[in-house]
Amino acid sequence: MPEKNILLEAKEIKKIYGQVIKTVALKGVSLQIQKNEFIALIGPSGCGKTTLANILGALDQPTSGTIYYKGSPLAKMKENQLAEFRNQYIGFIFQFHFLLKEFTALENVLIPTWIKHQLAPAKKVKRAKELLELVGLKDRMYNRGNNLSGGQQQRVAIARSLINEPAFVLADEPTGNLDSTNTDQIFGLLKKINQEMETTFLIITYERHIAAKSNRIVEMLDGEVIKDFYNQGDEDKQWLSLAPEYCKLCQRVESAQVNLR
Amino acid sequence: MLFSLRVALRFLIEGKNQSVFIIVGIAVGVSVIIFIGAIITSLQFNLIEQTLGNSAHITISESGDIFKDIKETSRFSVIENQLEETADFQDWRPILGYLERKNQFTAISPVLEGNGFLVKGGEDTPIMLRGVELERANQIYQISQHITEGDDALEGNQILIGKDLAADFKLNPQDIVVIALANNVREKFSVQGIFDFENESINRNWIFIDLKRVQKLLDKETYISKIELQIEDVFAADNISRELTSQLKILKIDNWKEQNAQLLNALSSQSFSNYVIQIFVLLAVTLGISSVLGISVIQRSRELGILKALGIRNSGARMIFIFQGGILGLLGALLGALLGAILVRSFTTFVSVFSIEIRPSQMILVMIVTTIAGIVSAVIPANSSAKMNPIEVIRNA
Repeated sequence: MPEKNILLEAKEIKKIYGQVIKTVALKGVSLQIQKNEFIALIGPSGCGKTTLANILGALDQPTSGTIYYKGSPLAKMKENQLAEFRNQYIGFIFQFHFLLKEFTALENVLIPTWIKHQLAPAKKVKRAKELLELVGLKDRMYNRGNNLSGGQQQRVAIARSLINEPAFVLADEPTGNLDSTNTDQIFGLLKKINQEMETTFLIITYERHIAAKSNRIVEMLDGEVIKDFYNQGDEDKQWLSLAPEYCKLCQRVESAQVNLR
Repeated sequence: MLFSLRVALRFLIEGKNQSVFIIVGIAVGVSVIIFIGAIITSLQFNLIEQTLGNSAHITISESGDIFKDIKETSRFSVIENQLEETADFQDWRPILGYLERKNQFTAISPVLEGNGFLVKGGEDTPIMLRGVELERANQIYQISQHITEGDDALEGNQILIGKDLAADFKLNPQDIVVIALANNVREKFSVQGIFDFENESINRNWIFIDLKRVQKLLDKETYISKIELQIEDVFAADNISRELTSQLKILKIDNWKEQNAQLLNALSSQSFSNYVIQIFVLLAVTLGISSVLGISVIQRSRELGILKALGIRNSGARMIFIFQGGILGLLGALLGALLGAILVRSFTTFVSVFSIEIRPSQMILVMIVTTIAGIVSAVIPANSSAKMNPIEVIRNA
C-alpha cells in the first residue's frame, strides 16, 4: 500500500497504568492503518486491545509515543480539540451499547450532530433516518433507548457512529454480548458500510469468523503486536493456522456463551 | 450550549421523582423566605405608618443661629434656657414656594404653634393651639378622616379638639369654650369638630385652628413656627434633610430619624434577623440542590462518558449541570412564590391583625436570587462532570 493512503499511524505507543504499582498495557506498539481497511484486532483478554483502540480513537493518551492522523500528531492537540477530533473523525461503537436511555433511537443517532452543530440541520435528520433504515430500525426510530433490545441498541450505536461521516470507526467487541444471528447481521452491516461508504474500521473481536472475514488481522499478546497480515483465501483454514491458541480461547468463550443461554 | 440545555432538560424529566422532590424542597424554602419577608416588611410598614403616618417626616424651623456665638462661648445656663424655646420665623413664604418647586414632598404644611389654656366652667387645662391651613394640614394629619363628631371646617373662631379633651370637659360640636393665650388674650371659640388620632396626648392637648386666626391672636401676623413636611420614602428623611440643611442654611431642619433612634434600631434589628433567616434558608436550599446534582452526576456517569467519547467538550458537560441547577432553582422559586403567596393570604385571612402584602419586586428578587443559588449550587457537580474521564466509565461498564 502506498504511504499517502495512511489514515492513522501509531508510533511506538507505550501505555503504563498506575503510579506506584505500574502495569504496562502497551509495550511500544506501531501500526499503520490505511484508508478503507477493515481490520480485526484480536488477542486474549488483557493483551491491550482496548487500550490501543482508545488511544487510536483519541479517547486516551499514550504514556509515550504518538498517534498521527493523516500525518499530523494528536499529541499537540488540547482537550477541546481532541473532543472535536473525536466528534468529527472518529466513530465509536462500544461493547455495551451505551445509548442515552433518556433519548429516542433517532435522537441518539443525532447526538454527535447536536454536539457539533447544537441543532441538527434537516439533511442530518434525514441522514439519521436513512442510517436507522440501513441498520433495520426504521420502525423503532422513536423508541426510547431503554425500550430496545440489545441487538437493536447496538444497531442504533452503529448508526450513531456513522452520522458525522467519520473517516475511522472503532468498534470494541460490537457483538460481544449478542447472539449469533445478531452478530452475523451486525458484522454484515459493518462490512457493507465499509464497502459502500469507504469508512475505515477497526474491530476488536472474539468472534473467529468476524476476524476471518476481515481483510486485515492484527493479533496482540501482552501489550505487543505479534501478528499483522492481510487475509487471503480460505477463511477458516487461515484462521486456524494463524492463531491456534487464540482459537481455543474463542471456542471456550463461545461454548460458555452457549451454556449461558 | 443548546445541546447541553437539551440534555439537562431530558435528565430532569427522566429523573422526575428526584426533580419533583428537590423542586418542592426549594419551593418550601422560598415560600418561607417570602412569607417571613412579607411579614417583617409589613410589620415594619405598619410600625412606621403608626409612628409616622400622621406626623411630619421633616420639620423646618428657625434655628436661632443669631445666638449661636453667645451659646458657644457662654458659661451661663440662663441663655441656654432661652434658646430652648423655638423661635418663630417670618420669611417663610419664599421657602414654601421653594419647597413646592422641588416636587419631592407629598405634604408641605406651615404651622404656628401657641400655648394656652382651655377654660370651661371654672376649670382649665393646658393646650397647644396649632394654627394650620386645613387643606395642607390634611395632607399630613388627615384631620378630616379622623373627625368623629361634627365637621372639619376651620374658619374664624372655629376649632377642632381631640376626643379626650372633649370627654374631660364634656364638649360637643357647637359648644363655646374660652381659650386663654400666653399674651393675655382670651377669646371665645366654637367647637366645630372632634378628632381622634388614637394618641391620648394629642387627643388631650392639640387644638387645630386656622393659621391666619392664630397669627392674629398671637400678634404674629407674618410668622410661623415651622414647616412640616412629608416625603414618599420615609427612610430618605435624613438625606433629604441634609440636602435641605445645605440649601436653607440658617434654618433648623429636623427629621424623624433623629428623633426615633430607638424605633430605627428595632427596625434594623428586625431586618437583620430577617436577612439571617433568609440567608440560612437559601444556604439550605443551595446545599440541597448541590447534593441532588452531585448524586445525579454519579448516576449519569455512563451517559456523560458516552457524551465525552462522542466529543462533547468539558464546558458542554459542565453546562448540562449548570442548566439543571438553574432550572431547578427557577421552577422551585416559581412554585415557592405561589406557596408563599398562599401562605401569606391564609395568614392574613385567619391569623393576622394587620394586613400583610407581598411586594412584587421582593418576589422577583427572591426568584432571581434562588435561580442564581441553583446555578451556584451546580458548580461543584458541574466541575466533577467536566472532570469525568470517559475511559474510566467505559472500562467500568
